[in-house]
Amino acid sequence: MKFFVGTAVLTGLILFAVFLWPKPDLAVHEQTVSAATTRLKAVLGSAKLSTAQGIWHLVFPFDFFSSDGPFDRTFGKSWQVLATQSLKQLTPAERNVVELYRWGRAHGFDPEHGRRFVVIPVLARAGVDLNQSPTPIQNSLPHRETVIKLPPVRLTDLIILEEENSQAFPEVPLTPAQWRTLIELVQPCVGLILKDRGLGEEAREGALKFYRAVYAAAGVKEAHFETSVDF
Amino acid sequence: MHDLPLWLYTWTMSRVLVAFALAYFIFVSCSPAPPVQTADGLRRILQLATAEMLCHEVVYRHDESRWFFLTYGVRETLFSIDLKVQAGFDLSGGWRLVPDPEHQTLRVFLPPPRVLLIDAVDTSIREYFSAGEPLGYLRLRALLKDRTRELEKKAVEQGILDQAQAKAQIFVEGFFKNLGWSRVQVEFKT
Repeated sequence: MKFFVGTAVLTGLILFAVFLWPKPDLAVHEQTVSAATTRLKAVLGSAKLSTAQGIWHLVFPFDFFSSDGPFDRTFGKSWQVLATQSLKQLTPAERNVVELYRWGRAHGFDPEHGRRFVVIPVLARAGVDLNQSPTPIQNSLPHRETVIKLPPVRLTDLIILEEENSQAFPEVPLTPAQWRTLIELVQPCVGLILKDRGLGEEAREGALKFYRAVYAAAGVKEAHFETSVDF
Repeated sequence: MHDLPLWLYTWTMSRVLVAFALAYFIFVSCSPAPPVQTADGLRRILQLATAEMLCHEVVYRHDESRWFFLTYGVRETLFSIDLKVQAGFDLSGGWRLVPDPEHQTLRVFLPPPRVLLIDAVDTSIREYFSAGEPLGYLRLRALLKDRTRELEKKAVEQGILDQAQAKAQIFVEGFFKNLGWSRVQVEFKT
């Protein structure tokens, strides 16, 4: 009798453990979301011509602080070396990288031994500000070819995408304010990474093609265009 | 086994269960994370943005989970954020310049304006308070996704496409007059 009662109790416990306990499905989840929309804050005019676009899933901290990473190529020294220097010795761009590294370490993101990460989907566009006029410059080229200096290619949009499928990754407990700080620190570094991945050059080619078409319509077909990538 | 008292049998087996449960959690927590896709998606585009609309939202979120009488996982946060809608012209869909040098006139044909971008501006977040467990970045981004979903419709209702067209008219005229054309006609395809 004892055996049967014991077995029944045990079976009940096993069934409870297997089907109920590990699954939080029976738990009641309550969620309240309230949002008040201010109808409109501002309407701004702009004249940004985007000529290249890329979507990247950047993994912080690993894509930022890897060996032979983008900062090594940009600054000519590794982020490990930068991190040991005092902020006063660094350029603003280098300082930003170090601040991002220090913020990451303080919040559990260790690029060398850690397993905490966030995936940041970035949509970046680069192009030119058409409010800046191209300037013809005195040329020294043969055949008296006109040289036109175009506005520099810059990042026109840098967007952190809100994606539906991001739930596949582990959650990281960050408050909205901590997320904002991370994005503020990440954004200038993202510019360097994307330039390293060819966004600037692709945008420069696109801008040149656009201006060639515009000037060709005006009858200027032999012009030589110059521009630079500035981000 | 038959000789064991019931309490001892149950106690022993419950210990076995706890061990199994512990092993299960260790297994789950050590399972590898899904592969992270970092492939580059670079492409050439030609988009002219001429109008941006900024909206401001105050968002409150409260989560709590209950299991019978046990309340856990309480999260509460209140913050504000700006949402941006950008409108303009996708020139890769067709734009044309028709010059008439004799009359110093340039006709510019542009596609119809459309919404080019909707974005929650993460750097504009102002957190008023957070209580309990932090919200987490995945939950935050899912929340912001929901907030941006209906924004396109609202922006169009509030006339962002008309704004984009009006500003493009002024801008394109100025741009080509700067390049030496005395008359510029801008026409929008419908």
